[in-house]
Amino acid sequence: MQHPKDEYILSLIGDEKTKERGLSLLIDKYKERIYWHIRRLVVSHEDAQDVMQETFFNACRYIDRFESESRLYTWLYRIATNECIRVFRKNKIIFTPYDSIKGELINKLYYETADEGDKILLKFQEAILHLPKKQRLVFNLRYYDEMSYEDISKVLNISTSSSKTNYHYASEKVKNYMLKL
Amino acid sequence: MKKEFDFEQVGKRLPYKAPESYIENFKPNSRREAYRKSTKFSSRIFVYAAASVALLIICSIAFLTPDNETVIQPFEQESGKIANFITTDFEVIFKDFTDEELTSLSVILDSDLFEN
Repeated sequence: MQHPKDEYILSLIGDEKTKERGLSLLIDKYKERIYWHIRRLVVSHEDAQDVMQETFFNACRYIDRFESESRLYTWLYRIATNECIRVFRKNKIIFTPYDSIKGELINKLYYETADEGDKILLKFQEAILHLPKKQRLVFNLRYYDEMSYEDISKVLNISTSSSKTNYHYASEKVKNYMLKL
Repeated sequence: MKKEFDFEQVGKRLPYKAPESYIENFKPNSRREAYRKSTKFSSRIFVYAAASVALLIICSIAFLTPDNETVIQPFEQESGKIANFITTDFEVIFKDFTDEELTSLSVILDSDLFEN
């Protein structure tokens, strides 16, 4: 399916009469990419559903604050990533380190994919889930979404060189983990 | 020779599946989310703020009172004073905030990934 260009969607959103239509097109264009980005981060479909709702609700609500110099999809990824981090904290003691959440995510991975899937795919996800938070975010955005380092730096609010370094370290760690198979 | 892992073995495949037609039929549900978000933020900001003020008060009691003027009060009396101060102070600050304003503050506070 051919999706309209962001400029067209934004022009519809800019006019009160066509705003609803513009928002609907925005959701249709990005919902699949954003869903899989979220799912890779939170692992379970149940949490992903919750984050999807929050992400697109916030996107529709604060679309007037979107600055046209940035790209629509990096803005949406940023909202989605923040919402994922909010889910990591949900029902946890304040200031829980990410490392203590890893184990829970790995358990979810095996629970969600019980009796199905290729073992190598599970091992690969496990390797990614073992990465430190920043490296995991960068790796997912670069490897699966093929995002440029510049766009990654905008999504995660870090420098471009930090994106590159984090991706390099993450790839090495994933490779080493997979060789332990 | 050093063994290398080939990413092509995995490619972009994932072990997850989305329930059938979930993505296709997805629509944001605005009213329920708006309510949940504003209540979630209200309680969270109160906990952070109350904890900060309590810490400040405890520090000021512990470090700023000169030793020769220290008067040990019964615990019940002191804790009552602190609780009263925290309650009245934050009632004044947040009393006039609407849910809309609290939600906007939440978005600003949550904008830095690694601070959160």
